[in-house]
Amino acid sequence: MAQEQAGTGGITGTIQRAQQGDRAAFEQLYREHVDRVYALCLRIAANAARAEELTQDVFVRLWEALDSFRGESAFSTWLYRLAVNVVLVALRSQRRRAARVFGTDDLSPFDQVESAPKPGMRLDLEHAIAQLPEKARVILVLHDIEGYRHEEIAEMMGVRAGTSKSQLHRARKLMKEALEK
Amino acid sequence: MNCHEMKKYLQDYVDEALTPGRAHAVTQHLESCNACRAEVESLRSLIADLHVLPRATSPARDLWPEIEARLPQLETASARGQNRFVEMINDVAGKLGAFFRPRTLWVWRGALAAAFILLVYVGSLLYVHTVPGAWEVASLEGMPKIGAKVLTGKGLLAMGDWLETDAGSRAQINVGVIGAVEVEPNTRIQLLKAQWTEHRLALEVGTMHAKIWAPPRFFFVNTPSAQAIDLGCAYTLTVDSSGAGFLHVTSGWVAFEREGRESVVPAGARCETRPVIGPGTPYFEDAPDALTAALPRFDFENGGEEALQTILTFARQRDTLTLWNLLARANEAQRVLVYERMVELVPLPANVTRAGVLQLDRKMLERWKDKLEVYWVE
Repeated sequence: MAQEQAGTGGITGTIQRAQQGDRAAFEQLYREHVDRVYALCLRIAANAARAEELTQDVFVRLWEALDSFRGESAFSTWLYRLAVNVVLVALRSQRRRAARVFGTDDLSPFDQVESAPKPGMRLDLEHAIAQLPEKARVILVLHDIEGYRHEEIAEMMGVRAGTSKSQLHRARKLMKEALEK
Repeated sequence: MNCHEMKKYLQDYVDEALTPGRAHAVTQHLESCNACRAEVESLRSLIADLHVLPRATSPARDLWPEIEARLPQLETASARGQNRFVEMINDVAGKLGAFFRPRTLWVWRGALAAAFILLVYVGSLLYVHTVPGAWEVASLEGMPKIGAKVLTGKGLLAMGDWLETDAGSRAQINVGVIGAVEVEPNTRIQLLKAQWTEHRLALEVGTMHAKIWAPPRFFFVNTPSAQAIDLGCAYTLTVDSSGAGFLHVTSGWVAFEREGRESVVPAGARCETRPVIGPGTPYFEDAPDALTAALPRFDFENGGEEALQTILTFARQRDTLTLWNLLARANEAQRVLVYERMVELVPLPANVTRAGVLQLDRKMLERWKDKLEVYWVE
């Protein structure tokens, strides 16, 4: 199984089989990565139902794009970057469809997670993140949780690195205000 | 520096993004300022809490069945490559006529390709002996007219002549020795040039089907809003009473162009054109409905950002055809978005750079197109 770990870089047997259209192999990739992809979608969308839709979109897109993975980076890095792009594109599209509002702060799936040291504090954090303005929320999630650099965020979002930084500062300020209430 | 000035550096200080000199100044200030020190500690605490948030969360239900139901059939890269080669050979052979379709022997296919080249050469010799400046026309149905004269059987269409069909008539024009055009009912079409290096018609209104077996850029059709340039192909072109046009390519390639605005349209793709504006962005006939609905809004109705986002959202690998054509017609900010979506779908080739694409470097765009064409084959 060690050589089958998709997140450790290169093209593993599972990835190769999935690239050749093996759905069982692709399901294995899904099982290995769905929790991480879903968490990302949930934090950015701030809505469980929307996060499920986005997670599905990410894996459908992965199926279409998998052929282009050449093993030049870790598969997990490549996949999560693809996931971020899918989510960002969906958000931009959603923003224009005013009738469809997803930012309703339905974060119940985070209630089930018990791994954090301070569950009460963690849930407060999740709700504070969900209440942030969309752009600030996306940048805070990408920078402070997912670990992307401002230059990478700027490239993904089509903004300048300075904009990413100022939005991050704004997001942290709003977070602190919300948590101090 | 006072506290007010210092506060704007605190987040960068926490992120270790300050120059050493400025970081040192902040450190010194913190030693004597309780308020700023508390601010820094509060920020560090927040960031530390965010860092330990779980990065994985299970969805409440298994999403796999729905995902699996949405997965399209995959075609592997090698299969695509093989199919592309077969199609290329078929294209060459197709230009020799339907009854010369290749079967299975590679030798036979090679011979057909050689025959094509010979045909073009011999055709060029024969052509100078046909009626100069005129093409043969045949009535297929009803009573088409050349000028005011009703065409019965066969006739000649001279340069400057108009061929017109009514609701009950159709005709076929032999384009010198390089192809044929079938003219549908309610069509008005004019022969502009009948020269070996330039075969040019003007389609004012109606529908025509062209099958051309010449090398690229020998056959042209002007419409009120764009000209179709044959790149070795078969296609249908329609122009309505407003001058708007619609191109559907069934084999090979067509370039649709007006005043420097060009769309490159391969087999299986369509492209609209509008007066004043020119050709829109091409799209595959099997493209998602949302994408094809958004394209005219982007191309012709100032749909801008909103329409573009929809296009990007629904684009598949195959729709990099649309995105590649969009690069040149998007503004700088939009071009970045198009580029990002494209590299997500298909990585850049080694000899193409982001900066080159965003600057619309012609050679780089062509190199990328060469790679993308694998995905554009039906």
